[in-house]
Amino acid sequence: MNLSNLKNHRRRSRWAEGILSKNPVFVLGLALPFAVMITDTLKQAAAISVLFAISLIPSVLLAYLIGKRLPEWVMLITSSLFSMAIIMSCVAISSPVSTLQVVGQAAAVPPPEAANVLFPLIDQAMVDPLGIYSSILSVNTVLCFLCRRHARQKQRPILALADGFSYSLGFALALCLIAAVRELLGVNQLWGFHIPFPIRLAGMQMAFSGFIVTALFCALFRAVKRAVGGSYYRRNNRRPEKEVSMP
Amino acid sequence: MNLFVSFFTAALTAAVLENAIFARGLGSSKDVFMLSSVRRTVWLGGFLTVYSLLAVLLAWPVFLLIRSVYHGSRLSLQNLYSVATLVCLFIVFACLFLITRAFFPKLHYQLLDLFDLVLYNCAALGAILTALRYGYDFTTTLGFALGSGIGYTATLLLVREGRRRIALAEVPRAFRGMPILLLYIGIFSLAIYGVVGHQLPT
Repeated sequence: MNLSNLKNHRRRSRWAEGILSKNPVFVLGLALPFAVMITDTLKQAAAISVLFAISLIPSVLLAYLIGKRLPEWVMLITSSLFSMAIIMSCVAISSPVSTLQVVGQAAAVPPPEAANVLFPLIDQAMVDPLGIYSSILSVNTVLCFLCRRHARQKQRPILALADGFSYSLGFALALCLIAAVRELLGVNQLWGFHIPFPIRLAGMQMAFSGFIVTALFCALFRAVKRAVGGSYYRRNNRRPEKEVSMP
Repeated sequence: MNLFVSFFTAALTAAVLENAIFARGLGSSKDVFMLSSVRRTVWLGGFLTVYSLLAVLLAWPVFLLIRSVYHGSRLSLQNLYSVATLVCLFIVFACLFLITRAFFPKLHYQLLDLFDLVLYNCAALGAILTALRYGYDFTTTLGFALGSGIGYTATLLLVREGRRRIALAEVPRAFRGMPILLLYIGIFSLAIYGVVGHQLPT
């Protein structure tokens, strides 16, 4: 059995494994509360994804630095508190106008006079509907998974950074996909813009549809992952053609 | 008498109508859903319930202090409550960890892997923050935390039973494991929504 192609593929994809092959939501089954509850609109999904990335990457780097010096449970508590501090800082400095809001409304919203050139990525109008889930980000299971991985094993710091980025992107991809489907089918909108669509199901904005849509995407990712893995395997392990004997 | 009524009403609401997993998705993760035995599930649920209750007992004076000194800032009162709740939860965790390790080593090593599941379980934090958002008093918050823990345990047992029955069915390969389990939980959540009748606020 020749697995060289598959092994090469896995080695190359280690840097971006969090995006697709080990997507934290669809493959590893982590951070499910956000996938289920914060995906009724694309704006909320984008806001929580930005907060997630901003809190995850420095926390994983902190875990890498302190993980070998402290007991595991102390390291996890420290990382979580650090993550909460970052989230509260973002919430405290979030301004009334954000880049995402301006981009979404194109030229219709003029920037306020006192604003800086670079707006914060999220604003209060996007953070407030997140409710308790913005605070719960500090105890999400993706943070636990990555902090443990980089505290225990002898990894390079660049891998900790790459994992932080790739898992954040994977999380954002998962939530935005679920949110896009739920918003489109639920209220026939995407990012607040009306999209004419023949199907409208009010139940898509409820919690149960978050579970169901997440389940369907998990199954889809699993099928695609199997197909891709299978194709790499079959490239090096072609079945010999049977010789057809003529009578 | 009123205290008992509000305590038990809050507990029942948290266990059924505002179930941590079915209504809010709190504490959902693959590790928790794939627990192998009933005994470990009950231990996890019991541990989480005690953890939440002790955290409320510790955090309540802190909430009162915050409310008395808060004069408006960039951070809202709810954000300050979140920070205080998280710190209190970790203090309770550290105490439980160290006390069991020092005085009950057999219990400590039996529960060692459950400690990991409890530490980063958002059900405890979520339940306390939800009760604070509703503006509950001390007794009602305690009842809500207790009910949330009991409801969470019952949900995990239901999910485990569902997993056993699904294992006997022929499930398409792509749906085996977590996808079919999430569908099962989604259908239960639909039933809870049918009882409540509206989406709960975040």
